[in-house]
Amino acid sequence: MITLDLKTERGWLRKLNPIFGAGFWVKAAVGLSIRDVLCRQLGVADDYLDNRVQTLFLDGKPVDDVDRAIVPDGGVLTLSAAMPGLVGATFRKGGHLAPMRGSITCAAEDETCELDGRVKIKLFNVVARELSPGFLGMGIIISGQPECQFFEGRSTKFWNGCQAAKLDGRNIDIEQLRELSFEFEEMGLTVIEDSAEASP
Amino acid sequence: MDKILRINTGADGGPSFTIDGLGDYAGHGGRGMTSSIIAKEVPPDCHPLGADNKLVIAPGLLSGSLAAMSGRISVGCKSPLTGGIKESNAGGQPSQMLGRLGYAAIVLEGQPSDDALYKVFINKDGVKIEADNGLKMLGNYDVVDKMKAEYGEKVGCISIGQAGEMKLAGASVAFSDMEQRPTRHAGRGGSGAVMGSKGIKVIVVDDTDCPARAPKNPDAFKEANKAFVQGLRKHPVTGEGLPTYGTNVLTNVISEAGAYPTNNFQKGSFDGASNISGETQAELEIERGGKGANTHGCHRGCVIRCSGTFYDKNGRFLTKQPEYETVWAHGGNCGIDDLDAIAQIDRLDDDFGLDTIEMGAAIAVAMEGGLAEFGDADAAINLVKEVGKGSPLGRILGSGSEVTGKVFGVERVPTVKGQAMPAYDPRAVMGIGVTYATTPMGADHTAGYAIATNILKVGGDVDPLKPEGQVELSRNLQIATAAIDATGMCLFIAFAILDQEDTFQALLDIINGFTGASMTGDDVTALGKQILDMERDFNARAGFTPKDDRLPAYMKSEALPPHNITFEVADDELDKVFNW
Repeated sequence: MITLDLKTERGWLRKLNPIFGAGFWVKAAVGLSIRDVLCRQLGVADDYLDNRVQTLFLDGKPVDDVDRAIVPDGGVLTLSAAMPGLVGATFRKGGHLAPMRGSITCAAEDETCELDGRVKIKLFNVVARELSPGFLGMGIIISGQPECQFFEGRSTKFWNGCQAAKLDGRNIDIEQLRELSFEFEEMGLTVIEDSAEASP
Repeated sequence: MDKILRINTGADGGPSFTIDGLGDYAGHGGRGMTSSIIAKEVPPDCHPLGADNKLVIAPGLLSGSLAAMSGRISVGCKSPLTGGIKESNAGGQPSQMLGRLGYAAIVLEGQPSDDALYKVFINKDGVKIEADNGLKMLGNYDVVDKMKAEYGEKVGCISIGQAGEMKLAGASVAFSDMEQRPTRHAGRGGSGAVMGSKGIKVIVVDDTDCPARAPKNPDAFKEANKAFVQGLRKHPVTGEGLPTYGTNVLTNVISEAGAYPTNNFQKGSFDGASNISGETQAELEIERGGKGANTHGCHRGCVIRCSGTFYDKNGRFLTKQPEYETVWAHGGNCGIDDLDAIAQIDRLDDDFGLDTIEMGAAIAVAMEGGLAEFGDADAAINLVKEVGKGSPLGRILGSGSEVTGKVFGVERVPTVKGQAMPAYDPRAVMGIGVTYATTPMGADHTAGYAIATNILKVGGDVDPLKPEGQVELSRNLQIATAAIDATGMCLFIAFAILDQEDTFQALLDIINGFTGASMTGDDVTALGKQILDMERDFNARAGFTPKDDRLPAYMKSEALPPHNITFEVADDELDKVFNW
């Protein structure tokens, strides 16, 4: 897997919002609860998960109990802040209106079975802004050609703010990066923002 | 607000007017006012475009005051789209202006005997009505520009575009915003067609020299308003999510949940959601820059500021920041993931005076009927332009999704009582399906909002595995929403009052401080029930039966991917929603 390491000015990460929305992969021990995966392995603080992440999906199903929803290998975890609208409110974790979407709610489980695997993470809205520096600092995996090609042919404006880059561990000019064909099946991506705020 | 302006459009020699006291309608505002007048004065079996129907425009109870978020305005009539009673509301400036001028309602009555088109001017000195056939078949933007040139830069406009003049059932009534653009619309139900049937093109409102309405108890009002604003600002939705991303912040989440109607409700998740999400939209607007790009308020006194301005690739103003429902209707529902194309359609809708939800639904139905491919943005733009031109095809589309489905032989038509469903598939979120089915308004997501039923204590514990749980919630939400609609408060206050009991109390204190009343949560509930009873009674007299309180049959048999579920709430459960 090819790797791309970027050092950027603060705030540059928001340009990657489409990647956060479409999802990226991280390696993790799976077969464990959402809290175990996010807070014990991926650096998300417990109180952040409890209070800030008000809307959470596992494989597209709204989750009410982060301690009793088990993340499978290849599972997709989607994290969002509280949402507006009636339907937005129905998706809130353990919210008063949760019964309105009862038929698609993620079932609670008690059985865990730990094994190595990987998890797809999707980050929406303010949660993307707040958690992306932590995930990108640790490194993420972008999988699939369309996803990798997000970087291809981007304008100078896009790359502005990118201070240094390494491709497979070797320094590469930003201009060369602009010309690069990103026809990769998978790409490891690390981004360190200048004076990046610590992950919550 | 102690007077009602009645304009008889059928008077000999052209429209005449009277200014009356409130009479039996004292104490009503917003939806409470519109539904009271329609229920009492309009024969339920009349033709919606005939002389007996009335168009009622009513600011909320608190409009014109300094209460935050109080600038919504209601428009009511017998709907040409549903055949039932209709209340549709909007932001913009005219609500606050009419409140300051003292008008609790404007009622358009009768039917003109000729095809002349009229403009109405209202200021502190009175009312003037003049024929102005130079406005014929102009879009809302041109109409507002002409009124600005004639009456000055500070007026507010209530207008219709070509769709209203053509009396199309998808026509809206436009309200100008703080930048004097016709971007805020009472969209649902075809109220623009009723205004067109009365021969009134535009109502110009000028509140110069009119002070804000004074509260009965200024100190209590001021204190409550301060607490209310603080509550809105500290809440993560009203203080952060909405001001940062606008309502379109919902796109990613609803699609992820499998509840995002895609390609005319064929599936619940859209592959292109990320490209048209609020996050992407906000980033695009910031990158393009421009005044008020991301974000600003839609009316004076708004502190949530979830609206914005959409500039095109060349930095020219195109339209206001498209709302979630619009982005969905013209985006995912038509398979389109291009924000510039969606914004262009939004501009056309606003200019022609069309409900973006109904138009998006109609185009998606037409796409399914073979008129264009899903995802073809150019085709969608051209179809909307047909409406503006008034071509036969355009008139079909502008008449709404149900008519379009009949003309093009499409079975999958997502309507209730003839009105298109908004951006949430009821198979994935059955609770909202109950509201879509039973609200007197036709499929409407704002009829049962996320109001604080838990704080109002009208709810109770709900079993998520039983359909009666959905019914109970829908009932309580509809009751609370009807009451909030009467105040003129923006429904987005719902999130803060849902979660923060002190903010809900602050809202009651604002109402009490302003009116001198001593309203309690129980009174809010009683008001909501009273409004719903009136509306249900009107519909019953218009011929509606429980069979009209149903979702389209295909939603019970056609499973929605990715959860592959159907709508499972039984008919007899739906019939219990209004059993109080």
